[in-house]
Amino acid sequence: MRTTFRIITLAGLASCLTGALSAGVVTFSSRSQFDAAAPGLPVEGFEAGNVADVDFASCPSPLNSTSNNSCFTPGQILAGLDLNNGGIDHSGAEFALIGAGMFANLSKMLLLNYGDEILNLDFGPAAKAVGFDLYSLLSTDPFQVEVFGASGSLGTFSADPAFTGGFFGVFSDGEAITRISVTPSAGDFAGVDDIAFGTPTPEPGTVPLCLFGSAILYAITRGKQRTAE
Amino acid sequence: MPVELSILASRSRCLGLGLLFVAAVSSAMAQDPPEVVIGERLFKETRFAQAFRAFLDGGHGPNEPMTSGDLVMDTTVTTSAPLAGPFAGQSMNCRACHLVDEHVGAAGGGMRSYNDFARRSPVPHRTQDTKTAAPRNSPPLVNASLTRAVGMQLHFDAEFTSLPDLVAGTLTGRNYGWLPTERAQAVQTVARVIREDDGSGGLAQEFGALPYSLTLTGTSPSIPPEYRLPSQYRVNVATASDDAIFQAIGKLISIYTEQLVFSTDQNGNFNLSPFDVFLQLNGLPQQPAGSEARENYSRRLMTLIAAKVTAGTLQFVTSNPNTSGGDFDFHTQPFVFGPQELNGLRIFMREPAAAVASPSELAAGGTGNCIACHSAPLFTDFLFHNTGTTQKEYDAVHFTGAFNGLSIPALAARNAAYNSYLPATGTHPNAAEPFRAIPNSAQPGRTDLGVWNIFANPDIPKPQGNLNLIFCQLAMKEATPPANVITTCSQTALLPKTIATFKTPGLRDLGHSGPYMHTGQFDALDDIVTFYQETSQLARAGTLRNGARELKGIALIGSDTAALVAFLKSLNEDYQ
Repeated sequence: MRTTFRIITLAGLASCLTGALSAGVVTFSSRSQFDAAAPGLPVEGFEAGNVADVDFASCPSPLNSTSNNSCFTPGQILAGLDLNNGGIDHSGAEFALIGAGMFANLSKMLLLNYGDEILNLDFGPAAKAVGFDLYSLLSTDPFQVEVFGASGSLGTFSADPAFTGGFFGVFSDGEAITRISVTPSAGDFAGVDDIAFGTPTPEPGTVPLCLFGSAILYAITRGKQRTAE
Repeated sequence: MPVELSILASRSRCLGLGLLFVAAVSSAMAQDPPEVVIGERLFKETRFAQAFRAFLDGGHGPNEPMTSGDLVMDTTVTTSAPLAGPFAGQSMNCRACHLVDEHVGAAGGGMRSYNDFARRSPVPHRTQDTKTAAPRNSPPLVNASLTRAVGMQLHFDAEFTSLPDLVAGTLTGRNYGWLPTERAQAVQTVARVIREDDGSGGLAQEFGALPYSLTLTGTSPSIPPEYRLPSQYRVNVATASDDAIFQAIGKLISIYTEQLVFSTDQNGNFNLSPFDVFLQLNGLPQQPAGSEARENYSRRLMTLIAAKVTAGTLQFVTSNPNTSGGDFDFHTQPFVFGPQELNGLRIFMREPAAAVASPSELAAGGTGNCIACHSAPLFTDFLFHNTGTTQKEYDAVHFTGAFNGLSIPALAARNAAYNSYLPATGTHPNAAEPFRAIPNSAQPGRTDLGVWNIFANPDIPKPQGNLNLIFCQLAMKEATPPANVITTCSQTALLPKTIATFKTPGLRDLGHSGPYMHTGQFDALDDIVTFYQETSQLARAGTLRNGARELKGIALIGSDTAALVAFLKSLNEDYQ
């Protein structure tokens, strides 16, 4: 029993310093749960993009913070995020920037202009957590989402898109995320919005709280040890 | 009076069981929550219309009976002789076009599933226009409010995206006698009636003889529990603005309308039609599994039925398990699902091998391809298609080929000349609305183009997102690869695809909702099957303007009609 308490105490202490207890990749289908696990991340919502409500505009691939085209000027997309279709050439019309209300979307969002193509989200620097609204155009059949780190694939997951935006989130407790590839269901179009990405930092009170909790746990252990003696 | 009660009441009249009626009163009252009960009273209220406003403007009070009612209420129009109007001597209400049991037992009457008997519902007379009827047939309200994949689209043309919006549009619209410039008067009239009603009218007597101000404010301890509104539905009538009262009314009528659904069991399975009993009897699934698409469920159902036929274990329905005599209460047909109905089901569900029926399929018949838009168990996709109804009517009024030659403007030209082409609204009260009109031989060019009137209409912003999505999806399915969003789904590109498209109706209880189609042009189900034979041929020949692509897959021959009609009749039920 005493050994068990000591292990728990040490594990709790370790978790205070490193984050979640379990290592690996955890996925989320709810933004609120994702935000709770990875709070405070910057979010790219494409709201600076040049498109009117209930309209759309064609944009080239890739799109990133240096883009300077009819959709975005430099700095209008957050640094550290690059969106592309893997290099398939459609003469500068690889993406469709969708204005609010054009479809069932309430705010601007980004959709691949052609169906059956893979949408890549690249992160540099690599991110520990990524979450985004996932849109489809033709059906709500599941999409395939593959998460990559520097060493290769960290896992492939099924995600439910929606015409009004489903959600996919991933948190890697180990290797950081360098790319997420979204493969739509047959014939469909992949779209994203409100991409939260980065490495969450513990809130200011988290570490002292963890240390305080671990100290109490240690004290209980010591107390039980003395009682036993 | 709650819906269940009104239907039970009619049944008791039919059967002469007065005591049953009395028992049903307390039973039904106990079942319906107060917001539904009050919503029904408002649904039946006859003092919100323009004709009653004119009566008030003549110096009368809201609690006085009209000295002479709106003439449009004197009769219930049918496809033959008119029936006596149940609200004669009063002014327009929701129920006049969404009837239930008012004409049960009358020659030429019968039960309704919240629709009327007219090809197009009559509207109150106004000297400022020449309208005598709504442009479309009154749709049944039962099952009309079910949730759907791509948002709520209400009315045949998707004008409204929510029930409260629809109710508000109706209470302030032409069906209630109001002109596009009279919205404020309509709201004011509703608010005045609510404020000043003293509970003495005939309708109020059916609902506890309570003044609206008392029930809607909802706080008085004197309100009986069955009429005491939950707080979220209340409005303080003494202090609220006209708009706040109007919104509260819209909410309550919406709540009432929302609960009008065909009967289901505790598992959510429809359970009163011969088709539903057939599924139940054979242990067949009655709804999609999980996220299964309805088309796939329908296909799976047919596979399971085929297996039972092969195994010799399929059972047929020969009587109604829900009535003591085994018959329908409100339909004269036998309650059966037998070999003829099964054959009809097979034809209904059978799809062609390719998008266009092949010559051999056309020769053999038996391919209804109905599943494309009417998959089980709801028998509607809630989407919008052009089945050729508008073209058939227009050509019949003018000449064959007239609709194909009709000049219909493109998006830019249409929106640049709103008054020439689009429906009248508060912003454009003098719009000519030639394409939301009833065709007539004296005025060529007037017809009903359905969703075309709403799509990309700047005066009607709410439905645009979902309509763009729906018609983009449709265009993508029809496009030759590689289609892309930018060129395929612009509103300019999509508008022509909305020409003469109308929402797919459900097919349950058709026996109580004729005449059929948005034009009300067919009296019998046989006529509809024949119509689809004709329009599918036109679609394949390329002479059906903007015809639904699904029509090309229909391969029906004359001998298919009886079985298909038998199946459709097996979807009838004693709605209660």
